Amino acid sequence: MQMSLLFLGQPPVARPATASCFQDLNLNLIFEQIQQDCPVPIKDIFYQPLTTIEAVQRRQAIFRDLLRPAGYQLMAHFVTAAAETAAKIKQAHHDWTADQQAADLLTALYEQHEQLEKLTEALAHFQPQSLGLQKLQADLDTYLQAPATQQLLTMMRTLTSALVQVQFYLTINGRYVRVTTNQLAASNSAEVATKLFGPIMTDLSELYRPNASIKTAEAVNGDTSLQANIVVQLHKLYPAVFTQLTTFYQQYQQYTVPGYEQVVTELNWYLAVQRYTQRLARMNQLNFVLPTLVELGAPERIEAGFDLELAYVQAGKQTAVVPNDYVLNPNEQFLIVAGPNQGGKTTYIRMIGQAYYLAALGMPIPGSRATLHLASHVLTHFERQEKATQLTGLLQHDIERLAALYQTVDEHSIVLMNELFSSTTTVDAEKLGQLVLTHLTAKQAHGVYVTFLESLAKLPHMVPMQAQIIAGTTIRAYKIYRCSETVGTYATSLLNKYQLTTKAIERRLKHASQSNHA
Amino acid sequence: MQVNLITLEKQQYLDEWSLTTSQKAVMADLELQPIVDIMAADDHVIAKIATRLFFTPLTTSRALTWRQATVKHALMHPDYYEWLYQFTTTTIETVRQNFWELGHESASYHLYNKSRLLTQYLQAIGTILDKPLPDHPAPALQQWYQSLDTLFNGQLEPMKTFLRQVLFDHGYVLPAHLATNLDTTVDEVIDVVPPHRFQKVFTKLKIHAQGFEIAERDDHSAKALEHYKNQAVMKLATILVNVYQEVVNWFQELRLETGWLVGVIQLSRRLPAAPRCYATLASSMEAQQLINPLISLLLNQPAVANDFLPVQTALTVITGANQGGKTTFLRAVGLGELMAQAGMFVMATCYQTPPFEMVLTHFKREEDQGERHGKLDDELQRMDQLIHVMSTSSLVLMNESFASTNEHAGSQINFQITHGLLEAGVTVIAVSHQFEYTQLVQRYHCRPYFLVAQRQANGNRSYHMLPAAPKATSYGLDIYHRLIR
Repeated sequence: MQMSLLFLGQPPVARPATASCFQDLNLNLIFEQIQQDCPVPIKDIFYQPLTTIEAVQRRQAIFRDLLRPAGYQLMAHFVTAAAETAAKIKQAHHDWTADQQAADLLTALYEQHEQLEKLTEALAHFQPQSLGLQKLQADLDTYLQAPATQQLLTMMRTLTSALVQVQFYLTINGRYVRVTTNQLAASNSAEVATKLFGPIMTDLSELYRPNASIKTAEAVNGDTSLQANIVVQLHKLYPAVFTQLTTFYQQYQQYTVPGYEQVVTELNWYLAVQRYTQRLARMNQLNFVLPTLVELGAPERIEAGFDLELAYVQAGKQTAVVPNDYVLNPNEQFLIVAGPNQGGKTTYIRMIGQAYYLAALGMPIPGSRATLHLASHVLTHFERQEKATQLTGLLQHDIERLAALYQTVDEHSIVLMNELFSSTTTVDAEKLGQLVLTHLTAKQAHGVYVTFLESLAKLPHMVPMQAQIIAGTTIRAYKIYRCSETVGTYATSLLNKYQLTTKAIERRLKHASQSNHA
Repeated sequence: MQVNLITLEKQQYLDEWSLTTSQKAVMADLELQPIVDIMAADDHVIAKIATRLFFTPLTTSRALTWRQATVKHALMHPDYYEWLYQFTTTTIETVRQNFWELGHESASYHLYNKSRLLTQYLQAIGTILDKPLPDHPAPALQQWYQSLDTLFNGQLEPMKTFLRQVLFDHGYVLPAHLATNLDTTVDEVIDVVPPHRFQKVFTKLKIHAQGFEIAERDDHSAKALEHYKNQAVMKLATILVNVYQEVVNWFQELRLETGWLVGVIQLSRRLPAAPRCYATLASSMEAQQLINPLISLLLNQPAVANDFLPVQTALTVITGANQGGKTTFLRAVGLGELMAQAGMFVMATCYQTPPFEMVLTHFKREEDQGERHGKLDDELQRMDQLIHVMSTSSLVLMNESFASTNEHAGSQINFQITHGLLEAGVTVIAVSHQFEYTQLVQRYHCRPYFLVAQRQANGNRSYHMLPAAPKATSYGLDIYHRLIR
């Protein structure tokens, strides 16, 4: 297995986690949340956005395979088992006795082989649609058919069956133990109990159901003198088996399956992302989508997008996350968002920034439908909370950050600016804003500009937008609309907020009854 | 072993159960608690099962008639059922006093403990079998007694003898094989050797080549030995634990089922003998001469009976005079529905209902005054939560919902929600003052069933609900003029 499920060729250069977008868009938090639910380190992968549409589509295809429940289950099952086995292989080398080391390595390697066989079989049955998983399946086949693999397998089989055929009887009374190959005569009390009490059981199989209240004494085998003594007795009874075991260890103590660790890590990434998005979708009743990637110049949009971090924080709480749409038509470059404080403006641009960045990772993004271009950079310029700095210092720092942004920005960039120049006078801020937007427009960049200066929307290629207040109240709707769009009535906007319109109720109830029946 | 006195399912009420938020609202809105209190008479077991069965509606005719038959028999022979409940309760409490377990215990401890406890339960079963059944037992009671008799008649003594033997200490033989990791894997254990024979085995063993002795202070190995011993008796211990569980479950279930019946008996003693009937399942709701049991329970006065005949429509809207009995009537329907599908008698001369999966309430609340959101937001939030738990086969009772805003907006909201519920197949009964709402539901829905709380010529309320089209004016002014001169 020499291929990668994540990259075509060399992985792209990693972006520094300190870059402003990771902090401003809460991406660092999101990646940390996904990592927390993943047994192996995968965080680095999030800092290597892809640079070609083809590479993104390759990952999306794998996600589509994993969106089929069977696909997710078989991969999740595999990585869990793989992690356990890896730990066992590592542990085997630390055993006390040579016999024990050999035996534990044998068990672990055999387990690993079986897992790979099962995975191959499951993949064949599952029939992955993605090139990535198809290639994985082919590689696995090649590995399993290789003569070296077959030789290992034969040896493991022979040895295992020899070991488990070592049968004996332990007879115990107090501290006295005897190991024999013949059974001493005895009666069977469980059978008597079954005859007596079986008939009163509603379900006879319940009679033998393991019960959690019965403590199974923790296994203290292996390195007890008892077990050592038993093995000593068995040595005498079955000498040939133990010689074979030593030979196996000498031959295979350094054995690894080529590419195995990488595949496991990469699969873990896909699965962790999938778990994360599906959990949020379920708990918030929101949608995720694999965006369609287009070249620049086509209309771009996200339907019912939302801020991922907000959805994570709100998951399971009563306040619903309010989805928003994003539309950028071919002749439009910047959305100019105005509206009340705490009206959802920052959340809105985080949603857009996250969508472009996550799309470049090939991940599902918040929304029910999405068409985006592949962003070369997601650049952010948010207000900083540096209180100690004097106003002039803050303004200077703002502009310094802007200069750095100018250096990176290109036509494929998404630029998100939040309350730029709030530390200066209105006249100044307006002029500066015009300069910034003119500059970025000239660079062919796209993005969103959150401001209290509505006049900026009058520049060419700008789209005025507004965060909504529920009519007649000061309650925030957390909805961002194009200003030309009509705002719903008071009642409708309230009903929308709680998903209680006629259509929403019908959909929710029918959805619930369908999933109950399923 | 199964009880099945009031259910056709296998041991249904043993799992942990507690009221959900929406069920708590139903309790409060319909004033169900006083009914539960009378059923329970301070017995928390009865209170719990009574509450639970109000919220676990029966949805098939078979289950409904099965339970109704037992209820009828229990009301005729309360003594037997009260004895059975009391005896079951006492037995469970007595055994519980001898039950010493701290979470997990070893297999050998279980062996010792369960054989003692099981013996006590077997004695109790003997007592139940000795007690003659009352005349003309309900099918459920008949079936219950017969199956108990079949299982235990003649078997009680051999069972007790075996359990006495199990109490002895033993030595063990374990067939084993090596695992690939060189551990000993103990195969299915076939044996517990009686003590006298065991002594002989080990006299020989001491001098045998394949034997050894674990040193006095080798705690680690001693622990491993203990582990093997426990494995040796694991199967027998598992059997006894499971048998014990089966018997305990049976007694617990019996306590719950008879407890509920005792609750019904106690409620019946406090309610008028008429009107009463047992519900049948049908495609739409229908009640004749329905009364609210709370009126006689709490106010100790005769309740006004009303007909409720929403023929083939899923929407009923009740309008009319303030303090005209609309809420009392809505509660009567709600309580009737809960009692009907719980398999109890219903306070009506005739009662039929579709098999609803749940009853939900959305009542105007005084406490809907959240500082942060405002009243209307709270109401919407509660409705949102209801939708979250609702199934399409639900009965939703709305009492002056969305009256916390102006009539126009409230009507719009109320209508959209009602419309959505109806479209999804839900049955709705709404008390409303919103005239616009009544107009909207007529415009978009064929034939809502309108009831109007009546006002007599002298302005007094009769508490009668009669079918009539809603009027634009409400009668709040009367009250105003009467109280303020």
